[in-house]
Amino acid sequence: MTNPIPEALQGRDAKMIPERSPDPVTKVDAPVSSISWLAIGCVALGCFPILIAHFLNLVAKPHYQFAVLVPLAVWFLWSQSDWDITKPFSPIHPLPLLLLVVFGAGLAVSTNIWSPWLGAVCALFLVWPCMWWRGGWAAWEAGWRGWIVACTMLPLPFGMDEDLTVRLRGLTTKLTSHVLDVLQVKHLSYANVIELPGKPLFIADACSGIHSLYVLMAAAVFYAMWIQRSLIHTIFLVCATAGIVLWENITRLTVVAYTLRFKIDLSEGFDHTLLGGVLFCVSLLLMVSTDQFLMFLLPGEFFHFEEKNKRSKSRSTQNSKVQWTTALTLSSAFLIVAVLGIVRMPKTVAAEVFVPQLNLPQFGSEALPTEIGSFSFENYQTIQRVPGDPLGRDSRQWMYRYKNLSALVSLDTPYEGLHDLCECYHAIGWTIPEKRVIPVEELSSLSTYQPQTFGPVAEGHLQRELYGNALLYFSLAGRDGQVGALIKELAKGNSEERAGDRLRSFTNPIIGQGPGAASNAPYIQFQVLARTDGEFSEDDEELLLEFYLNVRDILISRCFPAETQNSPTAQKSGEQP
Amino acid sequence: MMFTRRIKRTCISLFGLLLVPGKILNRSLSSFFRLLGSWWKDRQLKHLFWGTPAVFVGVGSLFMLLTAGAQSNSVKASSYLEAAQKSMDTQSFAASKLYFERALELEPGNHEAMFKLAQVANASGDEQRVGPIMEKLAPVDRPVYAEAHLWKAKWHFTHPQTNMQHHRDAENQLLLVLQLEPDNIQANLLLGEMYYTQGAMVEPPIKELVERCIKHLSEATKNPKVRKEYTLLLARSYARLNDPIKGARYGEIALQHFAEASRENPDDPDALYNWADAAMFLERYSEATALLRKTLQVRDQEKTRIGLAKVCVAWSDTLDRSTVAGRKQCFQLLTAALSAFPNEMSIFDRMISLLLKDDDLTKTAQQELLDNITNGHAVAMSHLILGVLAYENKDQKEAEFHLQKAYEQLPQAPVIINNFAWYMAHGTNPNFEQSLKMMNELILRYPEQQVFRDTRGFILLRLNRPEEAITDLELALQTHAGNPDTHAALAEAYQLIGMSELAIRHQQAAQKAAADIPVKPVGEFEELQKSPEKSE
Repeated sequence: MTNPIPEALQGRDAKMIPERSPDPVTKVDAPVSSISWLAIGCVALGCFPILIAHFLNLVAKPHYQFAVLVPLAVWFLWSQSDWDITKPFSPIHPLPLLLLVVFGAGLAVSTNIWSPWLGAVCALFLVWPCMWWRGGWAAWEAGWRGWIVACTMLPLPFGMDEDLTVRLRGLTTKLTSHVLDVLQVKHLSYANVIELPGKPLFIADACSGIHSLYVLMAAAVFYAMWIQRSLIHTIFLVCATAGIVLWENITRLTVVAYTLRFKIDLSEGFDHTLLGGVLFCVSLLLMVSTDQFLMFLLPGEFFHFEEKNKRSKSRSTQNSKVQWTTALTLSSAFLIVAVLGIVRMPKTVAAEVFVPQLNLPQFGSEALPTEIGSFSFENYQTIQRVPGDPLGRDSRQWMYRYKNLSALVSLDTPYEGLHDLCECYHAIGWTIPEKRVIPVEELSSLSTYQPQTFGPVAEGHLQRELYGNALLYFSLAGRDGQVGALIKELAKGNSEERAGDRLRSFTNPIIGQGPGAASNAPYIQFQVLARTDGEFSEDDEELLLEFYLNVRDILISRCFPAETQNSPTAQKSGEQP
Repeated sequence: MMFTRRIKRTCISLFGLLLVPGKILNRSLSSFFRLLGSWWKDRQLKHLFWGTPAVFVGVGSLFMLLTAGAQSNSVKASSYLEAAQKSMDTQSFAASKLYFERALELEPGNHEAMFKLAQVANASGDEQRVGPIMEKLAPVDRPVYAEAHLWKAKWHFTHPQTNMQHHRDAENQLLLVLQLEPDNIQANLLLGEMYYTQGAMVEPPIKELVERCIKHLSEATKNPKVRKEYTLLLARSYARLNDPIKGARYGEIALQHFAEASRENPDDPDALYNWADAAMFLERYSEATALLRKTLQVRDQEKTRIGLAKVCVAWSDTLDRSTVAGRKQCFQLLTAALSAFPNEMSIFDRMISLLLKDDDLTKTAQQELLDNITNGHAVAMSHLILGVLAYENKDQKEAEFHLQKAYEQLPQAPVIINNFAWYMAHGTNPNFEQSLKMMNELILRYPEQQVFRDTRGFILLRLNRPEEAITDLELALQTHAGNPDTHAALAEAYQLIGMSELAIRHQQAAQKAAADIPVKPVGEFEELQKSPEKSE
């Protein structure tokens, strides 16, 4: 006896709706159902600590904040599936058992070394044995769509998401430049900047499309799974969504650049947010429209081959309390993992997510003296950029000059961690043949400098065709006034070391994510960019370094008056990670 | 029979093999058409309808990108160059810089855009960018872009601390310009002027440099667009090369040109001045002074007054001073020069050499100089002349008074400082330290004026510092070879350090020079005339 399919759903559309399971042959006993929940509960408890950490890491990054909706979406899809534990199945079937053991062990290892990403991968695969316990093959067939949606909570590994951001930024800038050329909007584009006369548009993470990309792709996956599209249809839809995201971001930048002609500034503030919101909605509609177009292109059975319920009929065994007890015993081992997770969980996990606001005093041109060493003050300006801009959301800049040397002092805020400024300059076209981190010992040996603040300084020798030479000094101070400097290339080493580091990142997570790693965010960056019309002599370099150290001392004393008053020499050297 | 069958079977197999591609094609096509048929049967137009926005956006985006790709970079670059030039004309340097940079991004080898970018960067206060761009456009070892080489040459000439190295670099850059554009007028003119300064304005003139000067000025003046005043420079060069005929010919051309220009613009003092300059070169002093006086009536300019003073001085130099009438006329001219521009230092040594004789003219001159002081006219110069005359006449008290007053009136004038310092070292109450201090400051200001080293050398000798005195006196001797006083001082200095052979040789040179040259002027104003700060 089968449920009749309503006439309205017969035909092509009827294939998109899964056939309901036939009426139960044998009902599962209520105690068995409770045991299955108990087993699932044990596994969930084991996953909970590391999943919490993973989840907090995700929501700390703006482009993964949609993750809060993913559990709801998964629950929604599973609730839509509405399957019963109708068919008899073995709770310790070899396949789910294998998954339980392998990924359970993986979870234990990742909890021990505290790698939230690896833990999340294991937890995702542990969903399969849990689903099995709720209905065997039938549960798997009904639950895989939800599982696919849950996968969107997993960021790309090995920092690939960062690489993707950089590539998207470059692509967006390049394509926007082409479009602006067609529209006769005169501009200059380099790296991640579209510069219009008097208005540089920095294409930061927020504008690069990385936010929309992850959100819209997750939405596309959810939508395809919800309306039960085939896998091939879903893949096409997700690929098309990537194109839609690119279109959205190019459109956003083009609109901002074009409207500036008419003195309408949509590059910041509420207008910018509104424009982004409108374009996001349009992108969602376009995604739905693309789905419809794909339905037109791929209508037949050929592309909708997944709606078959063969396994559910082919394998069935009797449920047994002994087997359930075995499953429960096995899953109870996850309680140990849960305890391990609680022990290994860093205390600062939450602190990294809820970064306090930076309340700097109001600076002005008078924040720095008119004469610092041989340098004389020329002018002062403030710059506001979009949040997440690699050059800092807010910058206060003082220009100093001595003979043919110009020195731009910049205080940039806020940063989430130590930051390699050389990468930013490299991104806007400078080559940096020589860079190093000057240790505190070397700074202390400077003849005329009396250190008030201890901390290393990163130094970069910059070159750019038609720009000449520049000398860059920078370092960052954390919330507690601790100073550090980072040059990623030096920290990473050569390509072999880098590959090794990526693998070791499982065991030695990035800054702030490892056990005991204290976060000092938000960080403040102090930089001096010096330029000359020729080459820098050794005397120039020494002069500029001393100028930088003096400037940093003054600015740190203004940013952290309490710390410097209480213990002016208490700030220890920030080590290069 | 068997063999025939085998052959037959093989042929059939081969034929079958030949048919395989056809079969595959047939099956593929039929599958494709079946699929197409299935698609045609299953398709729903409502899906196409709802998918239209996505198709529209996709096609539109593709069209936009294809259009952008079809635009050539050179077309885009020229539109940016046009916009940049417009912004440059309206002083919108930031926009202009941005457009030039974009043009360069589109056409990286566009030297014009690069050069203009440097100009805009310079104008917008981003001077640090000028150097790197010019390094690329105007390297020292090969010609790249003529305008940039020319710009760099001008930069060397106008450098605030210009020195011989700057002049050499400028010359190199100008020669590179000529490698690219042999007819470049500006490069030829600048080279001509430079060689004139280096070769024709020194004593004796350096023939090779004067010839080079003539070569470049001749090349430049071939062009009808070049202003004719350069022919006067050419004329002067020929004159320095001992070719008075060509000098006069070109001088005449210049004179005609300036006369014509002045007639076209009668109220233009510059035209009149240039006319007078040409007349002076052709030694038509009367015409020159008349023109300069006329110029002064149009506009009273310091430049014209200096010119008038110089014409008078030059005129006086041509007169015979051995006769009383000649000396009188000479004195009148020098008085006129003093009246036109009292601070013209070239008047001083002429006046001194004229008045050293004790006759009526000297007395008349002294009276006139005293009148000048009384009337507040040319006070410093009058005091100086009277002071030197008093010193020569052994009247120390009066000499000190007048020289002190001259120094008080014009404390920055090098000739006054030189003479006052000399007096302080040689007067009745010598103050060597003060005079040395004054001379040190003067030499710091005019390091290339070796004449002041002569005075300092004497002072150092009086201070019993013979080694330092020898250094200064030998440098002074390079430009004043044959000065008996300098030789005598050197003889004394060498004697003091125990080098008697050199001392004897200098003693002999001093005696010989004293016999050959009766009197040397006290001032050294020929050199000062060449100094850029001579009018101080």
